[in-house]
Amino acid sequence: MGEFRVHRVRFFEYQPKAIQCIVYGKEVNKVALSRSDGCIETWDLKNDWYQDKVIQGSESKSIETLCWQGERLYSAGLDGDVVEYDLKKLEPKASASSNAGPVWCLTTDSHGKFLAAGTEDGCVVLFDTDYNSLQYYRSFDKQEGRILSIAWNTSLEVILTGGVDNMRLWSVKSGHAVQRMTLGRVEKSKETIVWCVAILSDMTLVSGDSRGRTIFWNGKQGTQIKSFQMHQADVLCLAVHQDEKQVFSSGVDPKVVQFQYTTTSRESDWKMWVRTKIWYQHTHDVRAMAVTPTDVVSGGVDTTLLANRLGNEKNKRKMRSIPMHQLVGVAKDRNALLLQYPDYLELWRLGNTRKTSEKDGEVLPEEIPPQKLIQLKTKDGQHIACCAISSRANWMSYSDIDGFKLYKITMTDTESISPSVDLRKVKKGLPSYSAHRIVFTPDEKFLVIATSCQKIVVISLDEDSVSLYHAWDDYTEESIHQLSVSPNSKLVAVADLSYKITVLGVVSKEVVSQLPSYKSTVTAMTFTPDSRNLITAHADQKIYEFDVEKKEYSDWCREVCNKFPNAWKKRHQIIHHISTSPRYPDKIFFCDLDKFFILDKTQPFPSIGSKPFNLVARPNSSKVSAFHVCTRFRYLIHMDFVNDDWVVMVERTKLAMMESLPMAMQQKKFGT
Amino acid sequence: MAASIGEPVVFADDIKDPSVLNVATCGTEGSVIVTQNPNLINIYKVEDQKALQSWSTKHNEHITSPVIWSEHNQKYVTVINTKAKCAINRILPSDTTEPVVLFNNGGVAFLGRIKDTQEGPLSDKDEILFCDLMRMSSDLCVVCLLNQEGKLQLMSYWYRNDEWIRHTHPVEVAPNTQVVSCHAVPGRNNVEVFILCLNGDLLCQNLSFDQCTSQILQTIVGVTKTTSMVALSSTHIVLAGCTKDNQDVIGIYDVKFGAFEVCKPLPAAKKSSIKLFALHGHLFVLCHRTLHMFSYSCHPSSLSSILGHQRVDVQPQTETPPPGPLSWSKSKTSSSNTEANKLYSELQNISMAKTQKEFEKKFLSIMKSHESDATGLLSETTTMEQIVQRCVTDQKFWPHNVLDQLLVHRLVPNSVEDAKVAEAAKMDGFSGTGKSNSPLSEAKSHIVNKIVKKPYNDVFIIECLHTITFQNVLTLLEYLCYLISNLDTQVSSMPDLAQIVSFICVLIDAHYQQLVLSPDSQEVLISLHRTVEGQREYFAEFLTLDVLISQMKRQFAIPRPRAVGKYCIEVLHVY
Repeated sequence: MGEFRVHRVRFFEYQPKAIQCIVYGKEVNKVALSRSDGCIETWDLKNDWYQDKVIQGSESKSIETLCWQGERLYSAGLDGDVVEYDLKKLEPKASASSNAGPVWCLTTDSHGKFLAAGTEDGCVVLFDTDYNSLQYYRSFDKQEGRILSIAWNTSLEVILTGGVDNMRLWSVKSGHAVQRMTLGRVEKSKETIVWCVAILSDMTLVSGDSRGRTIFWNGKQGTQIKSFQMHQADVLCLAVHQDEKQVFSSGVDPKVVQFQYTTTSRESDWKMWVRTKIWYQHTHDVRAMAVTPTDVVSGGVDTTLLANRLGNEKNKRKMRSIPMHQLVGVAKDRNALLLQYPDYLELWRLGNTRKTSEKDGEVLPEEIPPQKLIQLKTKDGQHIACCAISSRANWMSYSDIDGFKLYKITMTDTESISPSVDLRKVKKGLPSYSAHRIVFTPDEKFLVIATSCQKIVVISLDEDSVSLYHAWDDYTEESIHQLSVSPNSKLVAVADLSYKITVLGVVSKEVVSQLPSYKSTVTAMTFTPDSRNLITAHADQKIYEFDVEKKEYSDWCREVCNKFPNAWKKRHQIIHHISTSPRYPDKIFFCDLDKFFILDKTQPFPSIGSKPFNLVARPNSSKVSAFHVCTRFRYLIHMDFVNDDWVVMVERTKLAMMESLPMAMQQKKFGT
Repeated sequence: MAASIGEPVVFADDIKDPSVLNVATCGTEGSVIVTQNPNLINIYKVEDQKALQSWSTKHNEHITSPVIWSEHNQKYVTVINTKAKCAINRILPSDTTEPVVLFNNGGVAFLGRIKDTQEGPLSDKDEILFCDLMRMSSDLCVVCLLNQEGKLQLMSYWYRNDEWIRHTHPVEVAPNTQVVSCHAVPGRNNVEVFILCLNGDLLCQNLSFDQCTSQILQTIVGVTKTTSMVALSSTHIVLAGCTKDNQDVIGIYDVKFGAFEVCKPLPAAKKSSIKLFALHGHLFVLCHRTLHMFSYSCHPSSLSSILGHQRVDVQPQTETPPPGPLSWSKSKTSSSNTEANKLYSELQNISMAKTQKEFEKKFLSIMKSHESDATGLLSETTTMEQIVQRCVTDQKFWPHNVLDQLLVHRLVPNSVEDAKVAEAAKMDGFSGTGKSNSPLSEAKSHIVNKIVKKPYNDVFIIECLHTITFQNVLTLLEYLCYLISNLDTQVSSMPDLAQIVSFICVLIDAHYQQLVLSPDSQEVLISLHRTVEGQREYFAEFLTLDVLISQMKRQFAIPRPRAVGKYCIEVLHVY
C-alpha cells in the first residue's frame, strides 16, 4: 500500500495546562473551558466535540470563573474584572470592574440580563448585561469573609453564596441575607470552605465543602436534608442536570459521584437523594464539571476533558488536551519543522539518511541528526495564536493578540553540524492585523492571512520588500479556522465555522469557487497534488473531494459520499490532518489522535453495515477495503509529507505529558 | 535398584543389657517380640511401633535366653535362670516342631525332653559363638559355630530317625584374625553358613548332611570388631557397623559382585557392640542402647543393577603406583623368590586362579614383589609374557585392572604384540587414538594421555620436563600436535583441547632454548604452528557462526516493544 520513511518526532514538548473552569452553554450547545494559563477553549457539541475556538490568554491573567449568558461568554478572575469575549474575533470585548476585589465566582440570571459575582471582599456584585452592555449595577451587603461560590435562582429571586464555614441566601430585591447556614468543622482550627453551591427550583440547596461532604439543604428552613461523605478530600465542583433530578460532585480525590432524586421503592412516591454512580477516570484533582443534556463533563489538573454519557449507555469520550489547530509547520523543501509553544517558537532541522530498508518498523541510522536552529520568544510572553513557515524556510510568521509578525530567515550550510542562521524581522509594509490562521504559498511569493476580523489578506513577499497584495474585506461573519494553499500556489481554500468553504484565487484576486454548504464543520482540508481538487474532512468523519475547476464534487466523491460505513461515522476521534502526495495520486493520507490512515480511492468502500473491525484492510485477508490503517503512532499531533516518501509524524505521548503534572492525592489502592 | 534401605525409625530405647536383646517373630502377625532387658519383654507392632503387650519378670529373676514364640505349643518360651540340670544356652524356635534347646555343653533336645540328661561335647572353656535352627525341605538341623580349644568348629545336629546326629567340621580362617559375626541361611538340602572375619574375609560354609565345603567369597573392607551381619539370602547379606568413608554404615552387600548395593549411615555413633536382626522385611539394629528399625527390600542382583557401584578392593588406593615409571627402591630387602615363583605359577595356571578376584589378588601380590625387585627386568621374562597373554586371551573374565597396571608400569613385554594389547585395552574403553599415523604406539599414547589429563602445577612440572631428553620432547610435541588435529572427544581417556594446549605450553616453556636453537625442532615447530593456526582459523569461524546464530535468534524472537527516543527515522509499511 505504502512504503515510507518516517521522521518520528517526540521532541515537541508541548505541555497542556490544567483545566480550571467548565461551563455549558445551552443556547449555543457548546462547552467552554478555561485553563490555568488563561486561555479559553470552546467545544462544539453539534460537531462531535470539535474544539472550534481558542481564545489565547497569558500567564499573568488568571481566570477563576466562566459563565455563559445566552451566546455571550464571560470570565472573571483575580484582577477583579468581569470580561466579555468576542467569540468571532477571539479576544476580550468588554470588561467591568467588580469594585470589591478579586472575583471567585460568577453566575447569571435565567433571563440573561444580569450577572452576579462573588468577590474576595465578601460582596455579591451584580452587573447589568442588558442591551449587549456590561456594566456594574449594584452590590449586596458585605459579609465577613470571601465568597467562593454562587448560584442564582431567578424565579425565587434568591442568590445562594458559599464562603468560609457558612452559606448565605440573599434576596436579590433587597440585597440582604435572608438565611444563613453554618457548616461544622472537622477540626476546631480548620475552616470549612464551601467550594461550590447549587440551588434548585424547589429551593433545595446543594453544597460541596472542604470536608469532602456533599450536603442537600432545605433552603426554606435552612436545614440539612441529607449529607453524603463521598469524598476523601475537598469537594471542588458541583453540577446540576437540567432536569434537576441529578447532581454530580467531584474534587481532589478524582472521582465523579452522581446523586439522584429518586423514589426509594416502587410503590412509594416518597423521593430522596441517593448516591447512584461513581466514575473513576481522572488521575488528578477534578477542578470543574458541567452537565450537558446527555453527558457529564469533567476536567482538572490532568488536563483531559472527559465526557461520560448519562443513563445506562456506557460511552466515555476523552478529548485531546492539545489544541486541534495546527501547532506544527513543515518546510518541505528544507526538511525543517516549526513548533509552536504557547509563547515561543522553535525551528528544527530534521535528521536525514540515505539508507532505506524493506523491513517495516526498522530504525534507520541517522547520518545527519536533528538540530534546533531557532528559538523565538514573543514579546512580554504573549500567547501565540498561529504560526507558519514557508516551504524553503525562508520566511516565518506568527500572530499573537497584538498582531502578526513576519521574519526573514537566512540559512547557510543547513546540512552541516553548525548551520548559520540569520533571523530578520520584517517591519515595513505590513498591515497590523491579528491573525487566526497564516499560510505561505509553496512558491514563497505570497502570505495568506485569515485575520481576527474575518478578512482574508494576501501579502506579496519579495526579497527586498513586503506589501499588501489584496484583501477580501467582508469575506465572512464567522471565525475562519482552516486555510489551505494549493501546490501550484494559485488557490487558497478558506473554511469558517459557519460551514462556508470558499476557494479564492491568490494571484487572480477573485473568488474561484464556493463549495456546497455542508452541515458539518471542516476539521482538515488540502488540495490534491495537481491542484484540481480540494479534499475536505468533516467532523462527522466524512471526506469529500471537490473539483475546483468543474465546481462540483468529483466523480469519486459522488460515488462514495453515501457509502461511508456507519461504524466509521461513529468514530470519536476527529481527523485533524489530511494530506496528499504526488507519488500516490490516488491516495488520501490523514490522521487522528492515535491512527494514521490511507484512503485508497481505487478500492471499494466496505459495506455500510460493516463492523468496526471489518472497516480497514488487513494483511493476509481476501477482503479489500479502501481504508488502510497504521496504529503504531500514538498521540499524533501532526502528520505531513516532506518529500516523496518522507513523512513527519509528531507525537506527544500521554506519559510524557503526565511527567510534568503535580503529585496527585495519595490513595490506598488494593494490592499496593 | 535391586535393594533399598528406608529411613531409620526408633523402635525401642533404654536397652540396658545389649547381650540379652533379641527380636523374634511373634504369634500375632506383623508383630515382634523383643526381649528388651533381662527383666522386660515387650510385643510391638512393626507397622506403628506400638507396644501391644509387656511383661516383666519377678525380682531377682533375669532372662538368660531370649523369649521365643513356640508355634507348636502356642506359647512364649524363655529361660529365666539355670534351674535345669545342664545350663541352657539358647532356645531355638521351630515352626513345625517343638522348640529345640541348646545346652551350654553342646547338647540339644526338644523342649519336651529338657529334663532328660543331655550330654554334650563341649567343656566349660569352650564357647558357642553362634547357633541357629535350620529347617530344610526334609531335615531339621541345628548349626553351631564353636570356639573349641582355640579352634573354630562348625557343629551340626541333624534330626533323623528321632535322634540328633552330630557332625563337626573344622573352619579355616586366616591366622591372626577372629570371627566377628556369623549367620546361616537354609538352602534346599543344605545350609549356607556365612562367617565374617575381622580381616574382612567373608567365608561361606556350605553344610549338608554328608559334607561341608568352605569358600572365601569376598573380602570386605571396613569390617570392625563391632560389625554385625545377617544373611538375607545366599547372595545378599546385611552388614551393620562397617566403616565406609570414615562413617559407620549399614548396608546390603552383594556377595556375588562384591559391592554394597545400598548403604546408609548408622543413626547413632557406634559406642558399643551392634546387634542386627532381620524380620518381616525390616532390619532391627541395636545401636548404643537404642533399637532402630529400617525397612528394606532386596532382590537378586543383576549385572545392570550393580553397574556403577564402587567396588572396593582389599588393597587401598594409596598403594596403587602413580602413573609413570616406578622408582625402584634398592634399599628394600627382596622378598623370597620362592613365594613369587609360586604366585607366578598360580597366575598362569587357569585352575589355580579361576576367578577374576583371585587373579587380581595374586597379580597385585606379584606387583608388590616386583616393586622390590632389583633387576627391573621382569617385563622381559617369559613369565610375564605368559601372564600378559592370559590377560589378553582369557575367555572367562576380563582383568582390566591387571591390564591397566601392566600398561602403566610398562610391563608389557616386547614379544607380545603391541597392537594386541592395545586392541584388548580398547575393549576396556581406555584406548589411545587408534589412528595409524600417530607418532607414538597406542600403549604409549595411552600413558601420555593419562599424564596430560592429570592436574599439575606448572612450576613443578617444568622442572620434571627439564629431565626429558630433547629427542623425547620432540616426539612428545609431535604427538601433542597430532592429538590436536585428531581430537576425539568421544573417547573418555583422551584429554580435551585445553589440557593439550596447556601441556604444550609447559613443554615448550621447559625446552624453549633448545627448541629455538636446534634445527631438528624446526619441522615440529612448523607443524605445531600450522596446527595452531588451523585451530585459530577454526575457532574464528565459530565467531562468525555465533554472530549468525544470534542474528537469526533476534530475527525470529518475539519483538519487544521498542523504547522510542526523542527522534528517530524509521521505515513504515502500511498494508
